[in-house]
Amino acid sequence: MKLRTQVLSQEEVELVHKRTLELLEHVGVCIKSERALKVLAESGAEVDFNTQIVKISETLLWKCLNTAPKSYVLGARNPKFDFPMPATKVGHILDGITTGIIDIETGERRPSTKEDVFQTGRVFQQMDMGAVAWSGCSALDMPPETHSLHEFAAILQGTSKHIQFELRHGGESKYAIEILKAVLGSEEEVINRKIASVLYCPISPLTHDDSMLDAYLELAEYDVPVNIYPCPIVGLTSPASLFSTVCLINAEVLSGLVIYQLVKPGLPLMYGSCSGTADPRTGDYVDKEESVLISMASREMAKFYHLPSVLSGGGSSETVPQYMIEPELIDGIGTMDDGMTTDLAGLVMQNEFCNRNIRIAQGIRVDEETDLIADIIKQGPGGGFLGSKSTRKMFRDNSEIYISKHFPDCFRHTANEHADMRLHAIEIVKSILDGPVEDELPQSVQLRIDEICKNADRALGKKA
Amino acid sequence: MKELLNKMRVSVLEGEEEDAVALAKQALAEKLDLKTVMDEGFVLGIREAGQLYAEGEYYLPDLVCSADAMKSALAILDEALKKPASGFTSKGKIVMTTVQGDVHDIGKIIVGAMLTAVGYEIYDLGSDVPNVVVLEAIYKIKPDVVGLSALLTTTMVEQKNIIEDLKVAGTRNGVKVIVGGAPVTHEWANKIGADGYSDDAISAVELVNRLLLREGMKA
Ligand code: B12
Repeated sequence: MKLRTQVLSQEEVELVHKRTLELLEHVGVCIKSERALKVLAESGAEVDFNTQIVKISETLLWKCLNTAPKSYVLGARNPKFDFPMPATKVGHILDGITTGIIDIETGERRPSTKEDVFQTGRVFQQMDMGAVAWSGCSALDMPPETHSLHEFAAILQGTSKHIQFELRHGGESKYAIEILKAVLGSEEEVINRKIASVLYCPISPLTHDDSMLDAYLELAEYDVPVNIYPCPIVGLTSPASLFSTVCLINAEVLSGLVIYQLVKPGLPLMYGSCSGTADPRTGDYVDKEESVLISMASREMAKFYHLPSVLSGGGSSETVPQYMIEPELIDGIGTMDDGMTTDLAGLVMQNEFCNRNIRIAQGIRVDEETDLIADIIKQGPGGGFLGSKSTRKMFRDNSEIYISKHFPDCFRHTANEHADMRLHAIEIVKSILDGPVEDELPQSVQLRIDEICKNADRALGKKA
Repeated sequence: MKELLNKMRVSVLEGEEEDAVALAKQALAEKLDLKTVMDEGFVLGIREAGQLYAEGEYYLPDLVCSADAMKSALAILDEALKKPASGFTSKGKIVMTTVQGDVHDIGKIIVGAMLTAVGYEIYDLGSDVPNVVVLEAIYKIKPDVVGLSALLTTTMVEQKNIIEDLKVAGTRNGVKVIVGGAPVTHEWANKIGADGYSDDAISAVELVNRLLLREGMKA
């Protein structure tokens, strides 16, 4: 059987739900978007327009949970990468959005550019565990008012997998839709294919800001899915207990869900969880043991509401328990320095660790194929299995015997395992970047995307 | 009196806000010498807290509780301390804010707590504060230093914009501008003409001390 685990009992799941209702019904959430406040008021929520505090009843909550789709497909530019929700197999998200990158030639950290976003997409394209590409690094060479849009444009050209992007304000939405139309040909296809979703972080505790929310509410008209991704810092923006942080995340996701479902019933949503723990000395956000457990509990809450889930973490041995709880997506490959630096060699290595860990989580399969007693009987005492047909077959089946595509077993358990792997990973990155661009967009579409970005710069950028 | 001063010191050191408030009220009611109350009571407590933090004994939540107790005591004594007769002068006024379009306020709060802990008077404007509001606050409060925090590569530019606005208004020379936040660097600070940059709260204190050229102060 597969390795499976549980971090909350049924009663504990119900208690989280109950605590969440206490927060939503009695404390309320602060919602700064006028548009959202209006829709909520019209739908019977208790809205105080002065304080922007909204109280949400259980009835309204369930009404919105009922309209949120239980299954849908995160499309990809190349349909072979379409990712179904709920998923049959966990996928990883390229981590973003850093401000720098380890230069593959010099090994030094430097500020990242739009070209780096594109190249990061190309490397991610080749990672078998990578399902969804968040924009990776920042296009710092582009105007600050529009660089989110440039990042979206660049990552979309670098990879043909599903994209998760973000916008900072409403003005950018129409350009993002223009870019999607340029790629897919028509508005209908944008709505049907859903090749890009957005990442939305509430502001813990219990606040929804206006500019990003307004931008995404505009995109909702085109059915752009939203990953509602609270990032509380335990001890700083959430209480210093795992259970209470799970409750807080739940209240933030569900209040976000209510807003999005009221504005666009049926909009595909993801239940996200991305906590960190405060470094007791500096207050820095640290993704560590507590985050693993909190995200696992969030996964159980997502299941309780029949919503697909996205967890933070990934790419290390700490991911094993997360695999055991079967989320759809896990963020967190491709960066270091707590999400501040993109590291392409690290991406290749983390992809390898994901593969190894997922193999462990897959557990021991017992079926006709794996019951090879007949082979033992045939060989009898003293025989061997190297020449058996079954060995030949299973060595080609990664779900039974894991054989790495990139890192031969000679890299394991040596004194310099990580250093050696890294040198090897750098070579892999270089060979990917020297090769052709996979699923390259036609020249005319690329030119059209550049034109849209330039139009956005002119309209939204500060006049020099 | 000695015992009372010690209680004041301890209330701040241990971050007991209610005790600090009660003791501050008592000081007013009994018309105690406020300079002594501050220098030999509350201020000693916050200095010690800062010291313990620097030594690694105190964690951030300990320091923040001390800073909160200090702030609450100060709020009670505020009016009285402002009278020249009190003889008390603060080490300097600092306006702290997270720039417009940016909600990341944790780093700024921590820097503010550290600066409070060494005796500066902090005016925290909040986060996502429009540039005009920051400028108004600078005219009104006339701080010695203004600290601008930005965590997004899309909002760092507001640090530059505020500095330019100050120049246009002819008030740039009257105030030191310091900048910080995860994506901010020394190079950026130099490029936009800021007076200083630091990447954590302890060096932010050293920076402010240096800028205001005050001797004998430790983080
Ligand atoms: C927590 C967090 C959030 C929280 C903020 C909660 C809050 N109340 O502040 C939430 C979830 C709300 C959030 C939202 C977003 N975030 Co955020 N966030 C972070 C995170 C993980 C930690 C920041 C933090 O608090 N650090 C702890 C403090 C103590 O450190 P610090 O802020 O750096 O401060 C220290 C120093 O910099 C310095 N300092 C700070 N300010 C000042 C000022 C002065 C004057 C001085 C001298 C020194 C100084 O001293 C401090 C103490 O040591 C960072 C990643 C990271 N590792 O930094 C991302 C990060 C900053 N966020 C990021 C993003 C993208 C976002 C969102 C756009 C995400 C989304 N799609 O919704 C939104 C934007 C919202 C907005 N409009 O501002 C990106 C920025 C990328 C970029 N290119 O700019 C980062 C880098 C994460 C990532 N890799 O993607 N975020």
